[in-house]
Amino acid sequence: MSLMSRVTTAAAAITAALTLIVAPAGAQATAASDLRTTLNTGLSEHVWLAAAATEAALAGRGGEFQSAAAALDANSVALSQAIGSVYGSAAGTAFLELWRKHITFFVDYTTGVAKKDRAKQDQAVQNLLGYADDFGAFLSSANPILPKDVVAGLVRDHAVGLKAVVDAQAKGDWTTAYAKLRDAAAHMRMIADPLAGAIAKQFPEKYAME
Amino acid sequence: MRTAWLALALWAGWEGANPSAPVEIRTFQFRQASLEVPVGTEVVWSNRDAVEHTVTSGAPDSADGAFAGELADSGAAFRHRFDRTGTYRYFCQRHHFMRGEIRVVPHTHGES
Repeated sequence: MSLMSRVTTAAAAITAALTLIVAPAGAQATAASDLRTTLNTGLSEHVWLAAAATEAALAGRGGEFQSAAAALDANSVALSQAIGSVYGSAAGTAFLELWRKHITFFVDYTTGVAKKDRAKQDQAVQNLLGYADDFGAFLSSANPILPKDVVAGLVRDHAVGLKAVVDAQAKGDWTTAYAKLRDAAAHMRMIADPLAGAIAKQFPEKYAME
Repeated sequence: MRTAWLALALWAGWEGANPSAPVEIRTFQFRQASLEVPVGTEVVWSNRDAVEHTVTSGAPDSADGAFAGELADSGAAFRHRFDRTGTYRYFCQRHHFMRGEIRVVPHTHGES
């Protein structure tokens, strides 16, 4: 079994376990379904737009990069609004700052790849891994049902997955780039589903019905 | 006699105690981000996030060194007593978007 397959299998097992832990009793409300859909759509879109931005940046298509980056930021704002709708606007703002930070680290990594600057790449990867802990702490603090270390691990997987896309894009290996991109986009469900389930469990009066 | 000593000790403890005000750090926010306290108040920051935060006086581009605390993990606390009136800004060194402000005002008549 390949490393990627093992990672995917392990992540699926973690997600399944978390989903069982946090699934609300009884039928889920429409609100819970909407939340799950919103998070899945938004997080998956994040990956596709990030990859569009890195591909444009690596190819030196400045105008396209600017547009992709703007769309990516609009996606970030929408995600923060979804979080803010649950935990309040101040929490949404904190989420947005953290989320934008990891995008900045990805821009740093992509710049390092484009310039073949190994030190810059390594620093960006270190920053991304450290960021995963912060993000895990944020979600765990907002919702104690979500273990910090599990969330951090899933975010690290996200960073590693998107890094693989950028690496393949830089090599012009489009078969690999798009295969990794599909993996990276699909992986976001591992974050979105448990997050939506945990929120529904935390606020049953809002997200679950008898 | 014993009761009198106990009352005296309680009175002394009460008289000597400084007022304190809490600031909770949760989900990467200083929850009481704008706080007004009377002079002499000890502000107590408590970290409820499972990650290190700092309480650093000033702003990210101009830390002034007036006070600084590191709150390594959830449960950690930092205390600082404000003995002079004024407005004190602070931020988290690790997460610059986290900012707060303490406004220290004179005692009003009748306040302990």
